[in-house]
Amino acid sequence: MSEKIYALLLRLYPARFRKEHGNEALQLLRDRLRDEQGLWLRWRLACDLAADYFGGLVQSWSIAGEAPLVAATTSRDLPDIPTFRILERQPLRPGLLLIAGGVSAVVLAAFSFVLQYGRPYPSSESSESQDSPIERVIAQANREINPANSDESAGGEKSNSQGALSPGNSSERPRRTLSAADERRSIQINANEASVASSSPIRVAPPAPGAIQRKMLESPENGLDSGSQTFARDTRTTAPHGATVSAIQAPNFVAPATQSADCAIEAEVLSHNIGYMRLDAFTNPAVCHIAMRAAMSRLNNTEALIVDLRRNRGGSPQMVAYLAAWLIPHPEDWPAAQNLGSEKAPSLIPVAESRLANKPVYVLTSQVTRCAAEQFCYNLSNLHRVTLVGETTAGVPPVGASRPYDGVCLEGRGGVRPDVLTSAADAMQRARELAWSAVRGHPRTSRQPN
Amino acid sequence: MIEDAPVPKRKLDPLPAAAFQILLSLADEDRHGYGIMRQVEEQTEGRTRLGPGTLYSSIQALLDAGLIEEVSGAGKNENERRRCYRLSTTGRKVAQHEADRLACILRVARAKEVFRGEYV
Repeated sequence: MSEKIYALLLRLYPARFRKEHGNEALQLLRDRLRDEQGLWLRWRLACDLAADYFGGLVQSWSIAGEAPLVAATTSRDLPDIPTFRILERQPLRPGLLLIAGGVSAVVLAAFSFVLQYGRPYPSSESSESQDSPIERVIAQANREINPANSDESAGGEKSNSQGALSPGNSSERPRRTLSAADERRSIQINANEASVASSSPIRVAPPAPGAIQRKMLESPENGLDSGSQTFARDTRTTAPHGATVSAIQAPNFVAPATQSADCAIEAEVLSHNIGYMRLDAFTNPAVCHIAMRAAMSRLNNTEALIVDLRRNRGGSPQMVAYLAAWLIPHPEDWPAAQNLGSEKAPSLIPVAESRLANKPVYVLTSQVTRCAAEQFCYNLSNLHRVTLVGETTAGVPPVGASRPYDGVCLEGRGGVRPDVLTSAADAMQRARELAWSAVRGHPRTSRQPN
Repeated sequence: MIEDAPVPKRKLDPLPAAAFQILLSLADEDRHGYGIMRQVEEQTEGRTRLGPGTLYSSIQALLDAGLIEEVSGAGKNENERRRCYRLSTTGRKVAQHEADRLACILRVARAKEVFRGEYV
């Protein structure tokens, strides 16, 4: 390899030099390679050849341009009188400078190329290499926010589906995380941990509402069309259990500042300290858990709560259970769509920090309300925890859902009838009246049995 | 009768060091290129190692000047025929002249005790 490289480099020498001494030069290299063994000698040989190459190149070109040796001789050859023939040297020719400049440019370009492209490719970790740049940034932000739960996706301690925690001991409650397998059996979500076992939780802090949004919320129509509703955007989200649901927004309802566009959560405190939450979908808790918690924290000190599910077409059962956990005073059996047959329903543990457990809650329903939203209405209504106001729900429960209280399957049995039957457009006003009456201490309107 | 010959002009003085070393290496015997290189390394105590470019450029210049001559030589086997060089008469005289010049310089250095009393 060295000989081949040197043979290529010899091409820069003058043609006469290559013809006369090219083979000798290669032979000299072979001799030195044969005789100079060892790392030090080879390194010295390389340095010698490098220094000799450029010096010899210049010298050979300078000699090649010279006339044959100018010999100072006498006009006649005289015996025994030495003739002094001095090697002449001429200044460097422009061609030599061009060659030297070209070689220098090539060397510099090679170095630049190596420096630019020779850096090792950044190694990626196995888990993060599959994530997009946005997910990596979000994961990093989550670690900064809650470093203790940074390993929750790797599988922290599994939750105990049978364990029941007494409310009020949130400060002493051990951290619990849900593994992927436990999510289907247990829907215990400890809101105090503010974490759900997931691959990439995204935490969104909803901003404070503006004046326009507050005004819209307090208007009687609340931005609803009297007629059919058209939908401008359909955001598909995938729930942890794999079902695909849609979070749909009506075009005439401008998303207020409190609403995270992807989480479909809106929280607002109305007059008389009545909380209002509009939930157009039960989104993936891995994505919107923190947004939900932030919304509930915002409404935590209200005297009554209105949950607007008129546009809710369902979503994540885990998010349904999480919201319900804010509203119950003590552990309750929570039937979910996954609990079929004789499987015992898991226990729903209340959120320790919740102050809404004993406050009146009014859920607004419409013919659009279905699936997981319908399950939410049904379960809490049977627990006598909420008052349903509005229209009968769509009658499209989650797949396989049943009414554990009487064993009747929800499918094909029609929707959940509200306690206060009214139109969807008037449900908000009616619920506010009921809430205000409850806050002032007036008795509630009796519920209509299902 | 010797005609008045013009004094030769010496355009470069002294003789290049590499060329002088090559002439010295051929003073005792004929050598090929690699042999010249090793001899020069030996006589300079390892300070000078002539690379192929410098060596054969100088050899070419000395051949052109007639200071050395090429003789055909055989290597250790018939397949390794090397070009050997011999110091010509002219080359020997030039080498002597250069050596005298350097000796004169050395005497001046001794006289001025440049060597700090050491005899060189």
